Amino acid sequence: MELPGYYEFSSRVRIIAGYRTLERIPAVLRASGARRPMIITDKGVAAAGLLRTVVEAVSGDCEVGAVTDDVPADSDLRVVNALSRLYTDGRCDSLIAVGGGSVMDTAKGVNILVSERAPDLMVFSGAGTLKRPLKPLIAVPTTAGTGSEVTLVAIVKDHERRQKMAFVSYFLLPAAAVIDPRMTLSLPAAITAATGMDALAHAVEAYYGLQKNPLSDVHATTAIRLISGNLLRAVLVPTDTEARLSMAIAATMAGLAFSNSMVGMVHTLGHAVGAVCGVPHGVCMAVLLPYGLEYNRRRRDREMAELLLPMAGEEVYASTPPHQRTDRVIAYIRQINEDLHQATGGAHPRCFREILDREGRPAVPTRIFGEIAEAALDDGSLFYNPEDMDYDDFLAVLEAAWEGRALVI
Amino acid sequence: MEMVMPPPEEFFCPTKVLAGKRAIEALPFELAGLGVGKPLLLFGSSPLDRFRLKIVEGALGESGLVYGVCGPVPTDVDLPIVREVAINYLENGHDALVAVGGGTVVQTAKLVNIAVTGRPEDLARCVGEDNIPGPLNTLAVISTLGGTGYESTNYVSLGDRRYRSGRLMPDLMIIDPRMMKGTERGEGAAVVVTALTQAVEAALAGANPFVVPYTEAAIRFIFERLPLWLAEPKDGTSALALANACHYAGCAYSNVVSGSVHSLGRQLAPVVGGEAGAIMSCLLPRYLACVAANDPARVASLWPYLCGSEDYIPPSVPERAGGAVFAMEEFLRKVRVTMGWDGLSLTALNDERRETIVDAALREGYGVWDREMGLRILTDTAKEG
Repeated sequence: MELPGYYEFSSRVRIIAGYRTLERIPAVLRASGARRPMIITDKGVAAAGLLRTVVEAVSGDCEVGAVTDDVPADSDLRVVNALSRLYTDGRCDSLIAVGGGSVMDTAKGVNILVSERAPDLMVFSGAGTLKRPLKPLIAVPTTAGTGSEVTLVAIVKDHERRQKMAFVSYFLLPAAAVIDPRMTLSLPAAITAATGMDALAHAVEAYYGLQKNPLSDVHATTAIRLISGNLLRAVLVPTDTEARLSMAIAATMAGLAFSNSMVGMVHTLGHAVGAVCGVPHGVCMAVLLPYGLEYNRRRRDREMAELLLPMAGEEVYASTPPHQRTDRVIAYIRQINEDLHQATGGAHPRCFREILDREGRPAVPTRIFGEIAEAALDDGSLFYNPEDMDYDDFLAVLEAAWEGRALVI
Repeated sequence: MEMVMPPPEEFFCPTKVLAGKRAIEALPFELAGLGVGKPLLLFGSSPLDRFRLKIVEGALGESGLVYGVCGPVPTDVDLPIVREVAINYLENGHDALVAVGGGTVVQTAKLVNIAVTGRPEDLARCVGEDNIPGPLNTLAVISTLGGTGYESTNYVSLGDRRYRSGRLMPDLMIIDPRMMKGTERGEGAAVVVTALTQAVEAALAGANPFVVPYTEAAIRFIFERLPLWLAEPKDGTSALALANACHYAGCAYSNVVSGSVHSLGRQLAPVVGGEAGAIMSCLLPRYLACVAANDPARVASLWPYLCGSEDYIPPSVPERAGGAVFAMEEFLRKVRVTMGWDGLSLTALNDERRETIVDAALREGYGVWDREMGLRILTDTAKEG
C-alpha cells in the first residue's frame, strides 16, 4: 500500500445501515438532546411514498414539528429562508433530510440559519465561517449515488444574484446518516443505473486521483466490490433489498472516498455537460468514466490495474497479466454500461449520442461541444486530475464519448 | 471479502487523521476549525517524551496558538492525577486537550475530558458502555509508534473502572514522522502486534462493511512494513506506516464487539508475565485456526491481505483459510524470533487454571466468543509452545 508524503482523512458522520434503521432515528435524536424534528424532502420523494415511510418510522417515538416537501431540484436560497421560518414556527429542534443532493444541501443551509439565528445565509459562505455546532441533522439518502450524506459541503444557489454559494465546515456534517434499503426500493431502473455509476465514478476517480491516500483507497475498493456485485442485480431485481442496501452502502463509502481524495476529469466534464445540457449527473458519469481511465492511464496505469481486483474478483485478477489489467478494467466499465443499457431497455445510455431530450433530439449535440469545453476549463475538480487538460483535450474526449468509441491519444 | 448484510450495523469514527510531513503544523488550523481557542498540552515522563514535547512546541511556535502545558503524566494513572490535570484545565480556561504521545498520556486525557466537559462526578457516573451523555470537548492526539494500542479507540480505563463510548475517540489524530524517532523496537513491535490483533479480530467479528476498509489497510501496512522496520528501526517511512496502521486498527476495533484474543491476553499477562503484544503474537494464530475450523470462509477472506493476490489464488475456501493461518503463523513466528520473545509457555497451567482465565476473560470482555473457543485457543497454544 502506498503512503503519501502527507494526507488527511475524515469520516465523522455516524453511519447506521441496514434493515429498519429509520426506526432508530428517534434514539439518535434523543442522544443529541433533540425531540422535535423538522422533516425536509422534495415532491419526488414524497410522491414515491418515502416521506410517509419516514414519518411512520419516527413519529411513534418522537413528535415531528414540521414536514415539508418544497425542496426544488436545485437548492434555492429562497426555499432555505422559507423553510427556516417553518422550522421556527414549528418549534423544531432538529432536522431530518430525506432525499438526494439538493435536499441535503437545503437542509444544511436551513441548519445554518436556524442554529445561528441569522437572517442572511450569505455571511456564512466559504470555508471555516461556522464556529460552533449546529442543530442535530439526520441524513436519510434516497438515492445510492451522491454520497452527500457524509460530506461537509453545501451548495445553495442565490437565483436573484445568479450566484452559487458554497459552505464548507465540519459543523455541517450530519449527526448521522441512516441508510435504510426501503428508501431506494422504488428507485426506477434508469435512475438506479445512473446513480450507481455515479458512485462507481466517485470510487474509481478517488483511487487514481492525485490526492489518494490509504484510507480513501480502501473505501474506494470496498465500494467498487459492492457495486460490481450488486448494481446490475439492483436494476434487474429492484425489490432485492440486499442489493439495494449494498448499493446504498457502496455510495456512502464512495462518498467518503472522494470527499477525502477529490475527483478528476470525469467530474470536470460531467459538471460541464450537466450545466450546459441539463443531463443528469449520474448519466454523465456513466458515459465519461471509461475516458477518465483512457486519458489518465499514462500516469496512473499501475493504480488502474489494481482496480481489476475489486471489480472482477481475485481469480480474474490473478489470471490476467499485469500489463493487460487496465485494459480489462476499461472494458469492464464499458461492459457494465452495456449491461445496464440492456437491463433498462435502452434507457441507460452508453454514449452521448444515445442521450435524447423530450423531443427525441440529442441532449448533448456536437455543435455545443465547444461551450461544454469552455465550461469545463473553470471547474476546480480538474486540479486533482493526474494529467493536464486543455480545451482541445476536452473536445477530443467529448467527440469520443459522443460515439462511445475508445479514446485515441 | 464477501459482503453479507447482517442486522443493522453502526459505524462511528469521529477522528480526523492528519498524517505525514509537518502534520503537527496543521494542528492550530484544525483546532480553530473546531472552535478551539486555548488547548492544554499533556506530555509524559520519559526523556523521549520531553524531547517530543519540544518538537511539538517548536512546530507550533509561529502559529500564534495560545496553549498551556501540563505534565509530566506518570506511567500509572490514578484519580489524583486526573483531578490535578482537570483543575489545571478549568482554572486556566482551556477548551481542548492535546495528548503529546500515547499510553498514559492519552489515557489521562480521555479521563480528564470526561471530568471537564461535564462534572467531575461524571467519572463515576459514566463507567461502562455508552454512558457518556453528550459530546466531550475536543481531544487531539499527536501520535507516536508506541503506547498501548488503545489510543485511537473508544476505550479507557481507570483502575477497575472501564469506559467505552464513541465520544472518547479523539477528534484529531496527528501522525508526524518526527514523533516516530527514537522508538524502541520492543515497544513498537508490541503495539503493532496489538494493532494486528485488533484488526484481525475486527475483520473476523462480523460483516460490518464500514469496518472493512480500516481492517484491510491496517493488516496490509503491518504485513508490509513491520519486517522492514524491525530490520531497520530508523526506517521512518515504515514507522509512519505502522503508526497509521495502529490508528486504523483502533478505529476498526472500536466498531466491533471485543474479541477473545484481547481478553485472554489481558488475563494471561499477569499470570505468565511478558508484554501483551508478545502474548497476543502466540494467541493470534491459534485464534485464527479456531475460527477457520468453524467458519473457513471468514478466514479465507483475509487471504489477499496476508498472502497477496498477484500470482496464485487457491481455488478452494479451505485452502485459502489454511494459507491465511499459515501466513499469520509464519509472520508472527519471525517477529518473535527477531524480537527474542519466548514462546508462550502455558504448560504450567492446568485445566482448572485455564478455565478460570477463560471465565475471567469472558466476564471482562464485551465479546460474544464462546468459552469452548477460549479453552481451545489456550490448549492449542500450550501445545505449540
